[in-house]
Amino acid sequence: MSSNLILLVSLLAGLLLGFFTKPAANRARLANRLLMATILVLIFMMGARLGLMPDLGERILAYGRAAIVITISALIFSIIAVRILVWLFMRKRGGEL
Amino acid sequence: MMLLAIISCLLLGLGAAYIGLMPPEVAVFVNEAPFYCLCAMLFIVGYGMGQDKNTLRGLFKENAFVFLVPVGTIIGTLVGGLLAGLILPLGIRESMAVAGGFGWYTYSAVYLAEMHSADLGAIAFLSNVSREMLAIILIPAVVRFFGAYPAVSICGATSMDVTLPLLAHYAGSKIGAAAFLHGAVLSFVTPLLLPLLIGF
Repeated sequence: MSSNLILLVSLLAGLLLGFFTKPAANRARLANRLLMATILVLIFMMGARLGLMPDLGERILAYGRAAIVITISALIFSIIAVRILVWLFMRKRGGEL
Repeated sequence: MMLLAIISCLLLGLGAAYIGLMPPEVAVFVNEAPFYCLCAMLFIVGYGMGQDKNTLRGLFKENAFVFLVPVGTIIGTLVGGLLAGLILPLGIRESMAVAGGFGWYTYSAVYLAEMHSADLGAIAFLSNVSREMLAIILIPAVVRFFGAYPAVSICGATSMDVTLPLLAHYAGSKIGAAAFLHGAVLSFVTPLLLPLLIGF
């Protein structure tokens, strides 16, 4: 619980700081670069963690199968849910913007 | 380009650890550090959202329906995850948590690896990367057959950055603000939703 709270506080602290400071192009660029660097470090470590696991080959196949089933199912039902909302709330406007 | 760099980093880390190039001290660090990196990442993402106040303010004057699109995406994605969980040996909550990354593979994969297991993190990575890639491929067809909003929906959280130019190209520049809002809402919801799905 406490680690989830720390993550949430990090997001809110960033949001408040961004909201109450004037937009500045150089800071936005720096934030973007820092974000990219953080992402690359995180992903490298995630890869290393996977690489340290035994019987990796068999696992990767099982992971891929599960991942693609979840993705396709999520995509199909996202389309259906949003189509239903468009139908319910935007019929009078012709269903588009 | 970014996706290429990310996949290269993943393979580099994986390869180095697999062939034993990772010294034990680094291997310990690999298990400890991701949490602090996640905090930094959320802080920077939050900062970017806060700085974009003009875009967000402008949206309130637009069509109120745009606020329902992320709701549809969340419901549809979670139902999709739930049904996939019924046929996979993974477990329903786990499958919903993987789907609940909404294409934000950098966050969901590391979060689930950290809080659940490295296996679920790997599945979340593959599933959410493939959501982004499939969205890029499918945007033109979904716009044509189902309309602009379902096209925004399949992009998940990526509709505010990676897939935004494609959405604007195929569905018209008017969709830009709605796509940005959609991505921002999902990026905010993901860190709240994942702990609820996999338990604290």
